[in-house]
Amino acid sequence: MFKLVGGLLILAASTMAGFRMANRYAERPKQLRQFVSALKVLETEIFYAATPLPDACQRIAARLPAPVGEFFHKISDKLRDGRGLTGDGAWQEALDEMRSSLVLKDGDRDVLRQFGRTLGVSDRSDQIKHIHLGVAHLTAEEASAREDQARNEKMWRYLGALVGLAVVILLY
Amino acid sequence: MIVHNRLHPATLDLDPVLRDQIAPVLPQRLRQAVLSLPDDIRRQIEEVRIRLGRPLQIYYGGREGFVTLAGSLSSRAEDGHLIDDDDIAQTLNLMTHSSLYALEEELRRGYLTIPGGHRVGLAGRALLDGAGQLRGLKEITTFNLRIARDVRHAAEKIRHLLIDSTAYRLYNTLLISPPQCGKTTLLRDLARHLSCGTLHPKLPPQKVGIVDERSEVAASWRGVPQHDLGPRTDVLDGCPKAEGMQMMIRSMSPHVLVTDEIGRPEDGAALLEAIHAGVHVVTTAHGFGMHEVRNRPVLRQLFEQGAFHRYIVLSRRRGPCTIEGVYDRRGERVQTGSESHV
Repeated sequence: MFKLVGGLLILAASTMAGFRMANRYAERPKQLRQFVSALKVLETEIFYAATPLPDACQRIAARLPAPVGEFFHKISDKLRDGRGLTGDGAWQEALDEMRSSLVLKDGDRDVLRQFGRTLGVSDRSDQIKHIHLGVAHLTAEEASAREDQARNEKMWRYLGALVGLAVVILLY
Repeated sequence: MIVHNRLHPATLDLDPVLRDQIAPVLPQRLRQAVLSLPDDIRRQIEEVRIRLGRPLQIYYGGREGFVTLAGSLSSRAEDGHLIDDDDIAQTLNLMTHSSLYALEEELRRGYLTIPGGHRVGLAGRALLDGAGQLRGLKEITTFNLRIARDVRHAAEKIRHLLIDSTAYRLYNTLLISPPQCGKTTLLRDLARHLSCGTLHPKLPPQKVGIVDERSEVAASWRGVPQHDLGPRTDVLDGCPKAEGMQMMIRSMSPHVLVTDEIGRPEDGAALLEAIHAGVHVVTTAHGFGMHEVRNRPVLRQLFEQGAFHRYIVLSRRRGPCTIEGVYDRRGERVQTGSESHV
């Protein structure tokens, strides 16, 4: 009886672990896509409306689900807190704070960091150029993330359960 | 001078203008220093000067002084807090909301307006385009924060002179003064009185249209006037005067058009057109007295055509808004016992 319960627990745990890994592969392209749409909204806000950054980020945050929405919400708050942060400062701080909830690879983070450096410090046409560059880089990252997803998502979903099963069989 | 505050009188001691409007655009250190100044000085601050590599300075009640980090005032420049790169960067970020791109027009003009209607003058390195035209500023290193305090009742002394006492109509009026003599303040107060119907008991409230080319009369921030201009006032912000006046007449059917600093030929033409359309006008011009009205091309033309019924000359002789003289259509001093008020 105990053996049966123990075996089931092991199976459940390893299946869950497998699903978590699979989810990370499914989430990454999604989050990158959301960053791309965020930058596109930012482009519209900057180019057509010249909306100041805190307001623009607030609007982006309202449109996107967490954690990307939350990321922009943080930036907006940081820019309004009276410390006189640059767009860059707020962007990097938010990126650090959201490290655990954003399932991004180091390469993705580098692209985002790079983009943040130019945020708000130049005229409109220059901002638009940087946004286009950021969108291009993120889209490339997204494509590679989709490949990873196709390759790994299913595998992890089965692998967890199978490894669990193997362990249970070995223990019996 | 009556300082207008939107908050309850009990909080007047804390100086809401400084606390709610000026402090948020100053970096922490400078904010601390300015807010720690002695109460009587803090209340009178007119300008805060922030220059890279030089000490923090204020102008207050016609005097000046350098501010230390601890919040005391010194007449010696070397005592003042030396402004460093961080101070400048933070000030710029706070004033522009970290969004330089949103202020291209302001950078070209060299000043921006912050909430509360305060004006920040900017200087740095000019940025020219291919044709040698000024495109904006970069490497901004100097800020001049001019605190706008709403002076109510500035128009008290002259209001009885602006009304035609037989027909109870407003005279077309030109205010003449050198800079910093309260010309815009007086204009603003007149607009408010006209709009509220408090200028003269016999003059009903007027629809007022303000064409605010340089965002100075209404001090609009993101299109919203930061000064109280009365309930019947429409503001066209940032629009060239000549076009703006015609637009106002077409779209807002004002009784009175208010505009600042006429000087270009097209301004004069637009003013005449407005007057012929039956709209009353109140406007201002830079100058020191009536001789300029008679000699400057645009003003002379308006004078010869009898466009204005009242010319009011201001100076700073006894503080801002000192009225030097009121003249009629023919340029003769109006004798209504007003000299005793001056």
